[in-house]
Order: sequence, then structure tokens, then C-alpha cells
Amino acid sequence: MVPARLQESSYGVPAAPQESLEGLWVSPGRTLTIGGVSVSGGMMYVGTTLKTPYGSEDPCLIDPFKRVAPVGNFIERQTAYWPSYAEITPVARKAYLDWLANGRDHPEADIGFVFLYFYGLERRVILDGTRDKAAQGDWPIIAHELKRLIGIYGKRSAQFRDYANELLKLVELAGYPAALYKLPVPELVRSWELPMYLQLALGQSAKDRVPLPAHLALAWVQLDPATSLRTPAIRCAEQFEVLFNLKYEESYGAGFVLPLPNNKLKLSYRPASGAYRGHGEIQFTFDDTPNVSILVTPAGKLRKLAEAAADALDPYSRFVKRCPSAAATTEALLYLPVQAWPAKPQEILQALKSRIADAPIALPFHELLSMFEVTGEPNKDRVVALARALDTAGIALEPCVLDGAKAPKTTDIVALFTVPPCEPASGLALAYDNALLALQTAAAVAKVGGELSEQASSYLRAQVNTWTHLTPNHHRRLLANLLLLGSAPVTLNSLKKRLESLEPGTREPIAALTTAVALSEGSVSPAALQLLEKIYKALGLDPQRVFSDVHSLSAGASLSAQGTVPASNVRFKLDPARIAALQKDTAKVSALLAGIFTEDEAHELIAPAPTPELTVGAPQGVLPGLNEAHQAFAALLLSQPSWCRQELQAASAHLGLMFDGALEHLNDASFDAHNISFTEGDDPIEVSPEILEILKK
Amino acid sequence: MTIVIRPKDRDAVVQSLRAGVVPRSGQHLIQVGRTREIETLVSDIDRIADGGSGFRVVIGEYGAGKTFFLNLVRSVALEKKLVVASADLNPDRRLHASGGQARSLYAELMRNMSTRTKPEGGALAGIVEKFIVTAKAEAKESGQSTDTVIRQKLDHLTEMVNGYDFADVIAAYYRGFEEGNEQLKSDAVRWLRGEFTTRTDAKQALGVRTIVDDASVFDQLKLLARFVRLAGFAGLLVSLDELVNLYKLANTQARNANYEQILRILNDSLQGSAVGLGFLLGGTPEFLLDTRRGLYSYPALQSRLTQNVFASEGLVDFSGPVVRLASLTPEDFYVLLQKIRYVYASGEESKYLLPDQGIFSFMEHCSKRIGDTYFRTPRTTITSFVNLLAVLEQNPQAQWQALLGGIEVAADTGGSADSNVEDDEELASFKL
Repeated sequence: MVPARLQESSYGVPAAPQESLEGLWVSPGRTLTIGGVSVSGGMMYVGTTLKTPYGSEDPCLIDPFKRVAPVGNFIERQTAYWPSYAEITPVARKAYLDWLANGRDHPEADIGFVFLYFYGLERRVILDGTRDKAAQGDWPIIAHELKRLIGIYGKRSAQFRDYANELLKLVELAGYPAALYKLPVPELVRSWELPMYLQLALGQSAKDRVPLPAHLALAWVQLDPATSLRTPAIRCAEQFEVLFNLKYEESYGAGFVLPLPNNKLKLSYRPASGAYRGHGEIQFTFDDTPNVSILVTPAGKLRKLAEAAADALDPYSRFVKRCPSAAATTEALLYLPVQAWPAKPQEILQALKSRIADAPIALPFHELLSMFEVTGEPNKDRVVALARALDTAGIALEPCVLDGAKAPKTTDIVALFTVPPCEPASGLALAYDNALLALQTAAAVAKVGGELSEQASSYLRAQVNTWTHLTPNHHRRLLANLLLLGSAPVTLNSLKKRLESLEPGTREPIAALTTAVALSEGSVSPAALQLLEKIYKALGLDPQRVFSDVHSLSAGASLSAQGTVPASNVRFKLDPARIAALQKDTAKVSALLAGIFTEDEAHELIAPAPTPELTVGAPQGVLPGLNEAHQAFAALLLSQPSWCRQELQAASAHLGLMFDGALEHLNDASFDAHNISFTEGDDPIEVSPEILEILKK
Repeated sequence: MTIVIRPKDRDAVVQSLRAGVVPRSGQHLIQVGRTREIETLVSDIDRIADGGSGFRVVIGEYGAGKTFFLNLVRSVALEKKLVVASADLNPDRRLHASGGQARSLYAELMRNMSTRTKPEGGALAGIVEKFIVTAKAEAKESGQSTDTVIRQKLDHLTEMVNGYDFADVIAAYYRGFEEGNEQLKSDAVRWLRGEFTTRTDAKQALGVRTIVDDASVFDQLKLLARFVRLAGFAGLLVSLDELVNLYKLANTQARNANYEQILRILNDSLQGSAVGLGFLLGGTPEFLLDTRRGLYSYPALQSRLTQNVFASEGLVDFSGPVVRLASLTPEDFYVLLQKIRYVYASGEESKYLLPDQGIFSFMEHCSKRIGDTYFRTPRTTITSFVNLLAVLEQNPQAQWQALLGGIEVAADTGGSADSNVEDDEELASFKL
């Protein structure tokens, strides 16, 4: 401490003026000499009186007429809790002025002096600034000064830091343009309340009725104290931002317009200066800018998007946690939703997508992996990640590792097919399982010869498309499977268990399909037949039925119509179209046969008219084409309707004829002429009554 | 179109159906559909008549109408002046055997040999005599002896197996006729029928050194085919039914020997070495397809029988030797009943005893009683239907609706016997 006597003698104080001198703001950059100390930089009030709105003297005022000691030490603590220039000792005044003069930056300076200086800045902002437009011109400099002070003293005094920050906020906000939402969000710190800057920007966008821009929405969720972001969103903030923006755009396009609440945005300011003590907070408003941070619904909407984005980011986040060094590799990308990928892999993906646009493709798994620069045998995790990445791009992988299928080996063949984005990916239902099993079983049979033939696979493709109980997605997956079945071996043993555990209702259709496929190439090989028998057995059907089924199918019938539904369960009905077709076919066959079995009426037209003089028994006229002996034999036969065999035999021998041969000859001639037999029976032999009638004519 | 129905045919059809058997004649009156199958067989018959050969395996389920189909083809063949020999196989009648079963099949075929004039069988003697008569007439014209003409005609048969003895037997028959030696004639017929069991007997009776035995059945049929052509017929059709009996043979070797015989027949037919000879074999799907015991178990046969069938497109290719008969559908059955009604009314619509609705109701009734076997194994159902028609005919005042409920229909379970097969002998287990 400097002795008081010495102070007083060395530095005289100018006499107090008669009139009071209104305290004035020393603008930045001006230099003043007070108490013998040349203070450069300004930014303080100097005068003899400076009233606060509440009537008291402002403690920040530097009265040049107050005594100043010649020596002072600003490192020493010599101020009270509420310092005031007027009330501190001359030694302290000297110390304060020294501090002001020496760059105002000594890190160990008494914090009371810093506050004293701060009071002046505070007054300039909250009193002059609100009244006087010109005073607002100082704001940027004040803001800069505040930041500087916080940098130096913020760590030492939390109290100072808080006050200074509050003031800084006020200064900055007051200085912001009217459309803050158009600017990028500066780096803000997450705290117990939404940063004022953001509140203002949000409020402005609501006030201007413009859609909330994505970057603002993102800042809102990131800084909203009511939202707790999941780890992925924080660990992989960069990717999170991309995803969030995408999802925001996906859901709301350019953004949604915030509603206008009645509540206006206010900034409460609690001054640090003791002079304002006991007068509460000072409220600032921002030209009727609404306070949207109190709105629950929009915040909730954004929170949902954030959660979705964080979920999508989860695998990547885990991967990054596990191996942080690999975060930038292509492999890591697999864990990332495709939208968040860099451009190059995106292009590869698009190329792949256009390749499978028309039909599913099959390729060795390693080929697919190399597209994404994955080397070596990938573990299940990685395969699932790849499948998921493809899935988000609308490409599905078969085998369906996402649904728990075994991951393929690099040498395995995999299939890729499109999944339209609008279609919800349907899970693997029982119906699908059964359909797949049917397909696999059928393929096993079709591949008995080694290769899945084009006929068989096109037949199966056609069949798959008729299974209307499945979703289009299932259809596509089945078709992709069919592609795989062509290359991968299918053994009955691998299917047996599943075939055996099938529900009874699904067995018949599988048997029918399998049999039909076996026949699709036109013929069934014995090996295929044997396999069919085994399949029927596994299905719990009689293996003997294979032959009936194969036969029915080859004969042109359809299997599905048979035996699947007990006849009593369906109403008895007939197919009229089939009947009509059959009747037509029958008429055709009748005509064909009628042409062979020439009818009587036809014969009447052909048969020569008997000559009138012909009498029964006349040898030359009974039947045409017979020789004398036979004519005689015929005449003999006609003389009596019924003959005993022996009798006739004797008679024929008499005529020099062989009996059976003669009879055969006679009958043949009769058939030729009249289309009926001459005699009937063996013993007795009767002359046909029809022939009698004809000959009588 | 209208078809005139001869009373004889009508009665044959109606009575057979009532008895539950396939009609021997008039089948064409109730044929439903199967145009392509029939066209195929008709063209086969035409080819045989032209001196070609034919081989068809007719495959159908129990009740699908195999026998009906075979009989229809038989009638067509007779009408086209072929000689038809038909027989059902059974354990004692096989294509190949060493214990006389093949000869027994041959004998059965000869007994059932029929011509247009003798559709009921027993036509062998007539055929032989017709040949001799023709030869006699020729002899008369040319002034040679009948015996010489017979020998000349049969000359080119002698180069075939058994051919020389065959000619001798025919000559013996003629000799018997000339000499009035009935014994000689009947011995000759007995030889032709394969009824001689020892060579000694044959030598004593006819002076020939061979007989028709198990090993020479097929050769003998080839001889006969040529012979019937010499006798003025178009050719020989051998129709064998119930081939499932070969499938049922428990002994693999015996089975394979029979299949080998079929292969021989098939090869001869496809190579055209058989003249005017056709084979028609009827069997069930398992007889064809079973890879352990059916025709497919014999690889050489399997490769020849596998045919090109694109079932998926509904196109059936009959260029292969297998004709497949699909089982009847309810619609087939409906049209069949209409046909039966038509035949029953002798083709006069005014005499119909039952309206279409009645047929429908009848089927519905059967369907309720015995399920869908009513149309797939229709034997019993058809019998019931014909019985119904008979009752309606005899009781004109009766209402069909009232009668329908009282009709008893029994399911035809005869098909199950076809698949009852003993295990192969070599699979039997034994203990020491």
C-alpha cells in the first residue's frame, strides 16, 4: 500500500468544479489523462455525475476530480463486491486507471476493476444503445471487447464470464440482421436453454412465414435441451447432418413453416452493475419476433427425424467406435446409409441398379464385394452391412441375409434384384417360405440331368407369377432365387426335413409343381422319376402316385384339379365350355369312326340294285364276287334259316369246298356288299335275318 | 350329326355296360373325345395294312378306358380287314418264359384270333381255309396242283424261323381236307395254335420237327402276320392288355426277360422287319414309369419310350410309341352319359328317358355317394346309369327325380389290385 500522505502531497487534485459535469462516453480510441494517468482506448464514462434510471450515481463513472493516489497496484484486491469508482480509495483509483492504461489485460488484475470497466460497457449497451442509434455503432467494438475480456478473465471469475456473456449475447442479437435464418448457423454451445441466436433465427423465419431451412432445423434438434440425441448422432455428427437433412427434405421438402405463437421472443437482461440492483431484469424484444422455442409439435417432428437418422447411423457408429481408424474406408461406408455415401460409391451403386432394372442378375459374391473394395472373406456383420446398404438403395440381395439367412461365401453365387422404394419390404412370410421350398424342390428335380434347362426355368418363372397370394416383392425374390438355383446345387437331403414338416394342405401343390417341372422338358428321365418318388415320400404322399401324376400330366390333364379338395367340399358343377369342346371333339371322332364303320344307309347307295329276275336261290345272283361253288353254297344256306354245323360241313364237302374257308369267304363277300355278316353263330349257324331281308328285295 | 345305330350294336353296348364290361362291338357309338389318340391308331392300322408295322403302348390309369380303347382299335382293325389277336396277360401268360407261359399266351392269342366275319374269335381255321381256297382257285386257273401252289406261296416264309414247318403244317391241313382226314386237319390247327407241347407229338402227328414253344412266340407271330396277308387279309394286329402283370413279376430276371422281349418287338417294329404286324400293349402308368420294376427300369426301353410331351402347352406328340390316356373328367363323363342315353334311345331324341338335367343330377348323386371316383373309375357308375335307364324304360310312369335317391352306387376299387405288388424276390431276407 502506498502511504496516504505521500499520495496527497505528490498529486494534487484539481478543485472540484462549481457546476456538475454530466458524465459522457469516451468513444473508443480517444485518449484521456485522468489523475496523471494517460488512458488510451476510451470506452468509459467520464464526468462528475451520471444518473442511472433509478436515480443513483452510476458506479462506473470516472470522476476526474476525485483524488488519485500517485501509486497503485491493480494486482492487489482493493474493491468491494459492488465496486464503484467514486467509492474506492485513491490508491485503488490509481490502480484502476493504471489497469485501464496498460491494455486492460493483465491477467492477475483485481476482478473488481474488470467489473468496474464492464459496468461502463454495460451502461453503454443497455441505456445508451436503446435510446440512441449512434450508440449502437459501438456495439461491434463492445462485442469484440467483451470477447477479449472473457478470454482473459472468464476462467478466473465465472461470475464475470456469465455477466459478460449475457451482455455479449444482447449486443450480438441486437446487431443481427432481420433474416438471420438465411445465414449459416455459427458455432453455438449447447446449454440449458436454446441459444438466443437460434431462437431469434427461428422466430424470424416464423414471422416471415418462410419454410424452416434444414440447417436451422438441424441446429434446433442439436441444441434443443429437451432433445437428447443418441450416440450415433454425436459420434458421427457429419454423417448425421447429411442424413438429417435428407430425411428433413424427404419428409417436408423445402421445410415446414413454423406456426406463429402469441408469445413474443424476449431477452431478459440482469445487469451486473450495483446501481441497477433491486430493479429486476431488463426486457428486450425483437420487433415482435415470436418465441417459437416453446412450440412442442415442430420440435417433436424434428426429434423424430433425428431419431430415424440416428438409427440409420447406428451400424456405422458402432463400426467407428470399434475401429476409429477405419472410419474413412470404403468398408466403413457399408455401414453407412447409402444417402450419406460420397459420390463415387454412389455412382457404382447406381450403375448396379441400372444393371438389374429389368431382371435380376446372378454373380459371384466376390465380384459384388470387389465393387465395394471389400477384400478377403467378409464376416457376417459386413455382409449384413452390405445387404443393408444395397437395401437402402433399393437393391435386394439373395440370400436374404437381412432376414437371417446364412451369409454367402465369396465363391458363392448371389442374386440381386430391385425393390421399388414405394413398396414396403415385406418380411419373409410362411407363404413365401413354402413357395421357396416348392421352387427348390422343383429345381432339384429339374436339375437331375445336371443343368436347369431353359424350359424348366421358364416354366417355373411362369408359375411364380401365377402365385397371386404372394407380394410382388416375394415374386421378385423367388425369381432371384430361381436364378441362384440354376447355379447352386440343391440336394434333396437339404430339403427333406422341411418337406416332412409341411402342413398337409401345402404338400399337394408342391408335388404337383415338382411333377410338372419334371415334365417341362417333354420327358421324364428315370433319375428324375426316382427323385420324384423320394420327394413324394418326404411329403408323406404315396410314392406310387408319382406314376399316376406323371401320366396324367403327360396325357394333358392338369394336376391341381385333382384330389386337392375333397369332392364333398365343393359344390358339384361342370364346366360348360369343356363340355362343349368335348362334344365337338366327340362329333369329330364319331365322324372319323363312322367313316370306318360304314353305315347301312351308305351301303344302300353303293349296293347294286338287284336285278328283277333274280330269285332266291339263283346261283349267280346271291352275292357278287363269288365263284360257282360258293354261289351254290350261299344258295343252299338261304334255303333254311338255321343250320346245324355238321350238316353244313357235309354239304360244303359235297360242293368241294372247305367249310370254314367257304363260310369266311361268304361272310367277307357279304360284308363287302352289304356291310353285314351272312351268317351268325358257330353251331347252330344262322342266316342273318337282315341279309334275308335284303336279298328278298 | 346323326349316326344310325344298328339294334345289334345297341344291344351289345347296353348289355356289356350293364354287366360292367367293355363292349366288344359298337364302341364307336359311345366314344367320347380322344380324336387325336384314335387318329393315331387308325393311321397305325393303315400303315400295318400297307405292309408296315406298328407298336404302341397304351398307358392309362385304372378306369381311364384302356380296355375300351383297345377294343375300339380292335374293331377298327377288323373293319379294315386286319386279323386281330388279343389276349390279357396274367401270371400264366407272358411274353417270355421258360415254363410254357409264353406259349400259353400264344395259344390264347390264337384262340381269340378274330376277323371281321368272326369278331368273337376262333377265326384261325377260317383263315387257313381261306388261304387254301385262294390257292385252290389259283391252281385251277394255272393248271398246277393245289399243293404246289400252296408251297409256292409259302416259299418265302420258309426263310423265317419255323417257316419251313409252318408251310408243312398248312400243307398237312390241305392234305387232311383232300383226304377227308379230320384228325390231320385238327392236328394242323392244334400246331398252329401252339397246343403241341412236345416235339415228339408234333413229329408223329404232322411230321414236323419243331413246335411253337416259349422261345418262338414272336417269330411265330411274324410268320402269321405274313400268312394272313397271303390269305387275303390286310395284316395282323396283336393286342395285349393288362401288361401290369409283367410289372408284378416278383423275379427281376423274369421281368427283364419279358421287357427284353418287348424291346425286341419294339425294335423289329421300328426297323420295319416285321411285315403287316402291329402290337398294341395296354398298361398302367406304373408299368411304364416305375424305375425299379416298370418298363423304365430297362434302360434300352426307357430311351425308346421316352417321348416328347409338352404337357404344359397342352400339346401332345404321338410320334413316340406311347399313347397316354388321361383319366376321365366329370365333363368327359357327362358327355359319355349323354352318348349312352343316345344309344339307349337308339339314336332317337324323342325316346330319351332322361333330360340333361337328369344326367347332371345323377352325377351329383354319385359324387355325393362315392366322391370323385365316380368318374375316374366309372365302371360301376355306368352300370348304375344303364340300370336307371332300364327302370325308366320299363316304368314309363316313373319320375327320374324320385328314382335318383334310391340308386345304389358302389365305388370301383379294382384298381388297387394293380398296385399291390409283392416285393422283389431277391430282396427277401433270410437268416442262417
